[in-house]
Amino acid sequence: MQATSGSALRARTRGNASALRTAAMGYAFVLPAFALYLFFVIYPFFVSIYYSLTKWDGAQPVKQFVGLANYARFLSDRLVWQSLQHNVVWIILGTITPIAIGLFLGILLWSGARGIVFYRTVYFLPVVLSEVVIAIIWNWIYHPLMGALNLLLKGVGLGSLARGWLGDPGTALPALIVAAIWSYYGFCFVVIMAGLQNVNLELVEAATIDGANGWQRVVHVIIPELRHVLTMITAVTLIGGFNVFGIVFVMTQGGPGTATQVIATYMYRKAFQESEVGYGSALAVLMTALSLVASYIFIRLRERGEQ
Amino acid sequence: MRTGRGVSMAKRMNRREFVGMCATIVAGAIAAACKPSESPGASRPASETVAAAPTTTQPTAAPQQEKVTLLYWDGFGEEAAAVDDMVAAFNEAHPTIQVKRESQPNMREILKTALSAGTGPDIMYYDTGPGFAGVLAYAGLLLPLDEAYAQYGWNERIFHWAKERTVFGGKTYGIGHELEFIGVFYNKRIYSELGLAEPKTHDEYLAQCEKLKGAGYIPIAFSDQDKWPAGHMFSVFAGNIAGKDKLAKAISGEAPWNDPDFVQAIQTFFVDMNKAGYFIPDVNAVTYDDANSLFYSGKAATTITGSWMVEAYTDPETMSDPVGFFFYPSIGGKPIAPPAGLGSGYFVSKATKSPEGSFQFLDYLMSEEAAKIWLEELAKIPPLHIDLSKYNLSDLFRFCVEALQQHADEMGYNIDVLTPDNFNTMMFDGFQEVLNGTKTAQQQADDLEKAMQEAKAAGKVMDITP
Repeated sequence: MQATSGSALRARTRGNASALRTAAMGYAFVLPAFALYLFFVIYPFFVSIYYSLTKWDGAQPVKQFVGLANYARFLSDRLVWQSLQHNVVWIILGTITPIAIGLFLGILLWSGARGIVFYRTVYFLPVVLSEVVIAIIWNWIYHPLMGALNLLLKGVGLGSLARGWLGDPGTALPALIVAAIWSYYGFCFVVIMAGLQNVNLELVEAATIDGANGWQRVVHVIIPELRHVLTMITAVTLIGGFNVFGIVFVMTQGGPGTATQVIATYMYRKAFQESEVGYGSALAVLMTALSLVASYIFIRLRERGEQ
Repeated sequence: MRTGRGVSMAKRMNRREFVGMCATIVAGAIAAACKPSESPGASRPASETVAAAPTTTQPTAAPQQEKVTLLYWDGFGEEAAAVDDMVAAFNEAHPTIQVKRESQPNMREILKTALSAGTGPDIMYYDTGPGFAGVLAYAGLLLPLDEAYAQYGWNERIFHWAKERTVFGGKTYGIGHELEFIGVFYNKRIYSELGLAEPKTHDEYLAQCEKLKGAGYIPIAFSDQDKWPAGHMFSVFAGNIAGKDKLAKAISGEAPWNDPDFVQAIQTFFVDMNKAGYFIPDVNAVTYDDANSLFYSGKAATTITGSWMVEAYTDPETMSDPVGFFFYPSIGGKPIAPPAGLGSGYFVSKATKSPEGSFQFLDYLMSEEAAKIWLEELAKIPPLHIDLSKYNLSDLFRFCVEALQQHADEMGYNIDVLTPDNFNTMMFDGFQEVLNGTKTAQQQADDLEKAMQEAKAAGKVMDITP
């Protein structure tokens, strides 16, 4: 008995040592990336939270601790609410539209169209362009005097609709969202195409035999089969909607007036243009919190729906 | 078994090596990150820096023989070869100082952080306003230059108002540079074609705009997608309607911005002239560069902008038609006060490796030798009392330099380089709204006053009253 338990102990010890070595190797692989993540993401994140509790211009050696005063200031800052409103519009239109376009194109090609590789390349092309390039392209398209859009409208006899798209407070935000959708739907399309490869064809065939039309097959068979892919894209797009910055900054700088100001551009303005780093950090924390909460709620709702 | 153990040993060795290597990298990174940076506020005299290194390695070397390298940041662009030439000329004449120039297109974003971290430049060319250099000065990141002004004779050589624009808290921190003013540039061919002459009054100019519009020209190449051009227009009309003194008081927070004169200034340009159709259509959707293109191509007959555009207007490759200039004329019989100001200014970091070397470099940049390059090659006007007969300049540029040399004291103010940031962002956004018709002149004036009071309460207002 003693001999048996001794050998079992030795075996367990050997097993533990092996497990430890395996774990150590795992940590060794993770450590460099984690150190970088810690230093460049986690540390700045907590520092931002600290800054958000201070009044600081970014240059003074002393940061004045003000508690939650920066957050309380949100309540009376009209521009915060206006910017949030623009973010919400951006999230709704900028999430639904590219996913819908990606889904439509994906299903269209999946159902047997020729030249998938060609279309996939063409649709994905805008995704590889930088935001600045996209902004420049669309600035030219929207140009009031020589832009393609106004020339097209005038060419087809709709000259009365021609306008300075980015200079009109009624059209500036939708114009930016259209540019953003153009740059993003290709990503949705490619991910959905990948997801469609895993759709159970037997289910689709069974639905067809049962008399389901194309629309019914899409809504009741294909979309539920794509739920994980769609959840992922929606969560990523939601976060992107809260964080949108580059395209707005380059194309309108939040203008005309504040008609396209979003939280990120307002944060930039406060932190870097008006030297209110404390308040700007509070806006950054707000942006992060909203992204996290919105994504969490969305994912929870999806999970509950599945259950 | 043997083979297996051998493989296992080899694996273990690799793992150890790998873990060791990772640990070294991480420890190194952490050590580098945690290395205490030099206190940004701590100034190190040149002699100390120059002498410190050689004493340990070459005790016998004379400290003055060692070179000190000074980092110089500006925003002139990598292509500004003439600036590089000036730096090279200075380095050649000063064997113990090596100035290294870096052009930073995004200085406003990085300078504050770089100086605070103790890694910024020794010498910088930066905006002079209270929201820019003022923030750095009050944070103790800049070196006061009062003694250098006396030591190098800058008080005699440099325009006093170029110095005054860099005074914060009673101390002088910089040398204002790139003098400029704002006025009306016009296409002489179009004016001659329509029989127009330089107007003497605002009403005369409006009549010309009407005639130009009727002839199919855009009367004024004004656009505001970039937001800041509106600040210049407001400076012109506020100066000519409210007058220089009241404008100075308003900038200093001592007169209200919702004074009827300022409301009238906003109403006249941003509402009445806009409604009359004198600007580029869809004014908020066109950039400053595109507006200039319309002027270059002769589609727009006049443009209200700054003297920094003279180089382009006198370059036949850019603009084939001849260009004339007049200051925006009198409004309602009041004296004119054309906005004049500074492009930016030279400043020295408090943590510079060599204050003396930095002063010598600034002294060179403000020398007669450098003035020739500033004027002839870069078309930038230095803040110096100079004899213009020595320089080869175009007629239009010569006129601009002479005007600034002789009348700068009588000129008005370019508002946005003197007002705080919150005021400027509010002003820029607000004027786009006035141009869109979503805000009235009175509302804009009220918002300007509110922004100024907020800045005043935060101690961000610059006093420019005499």
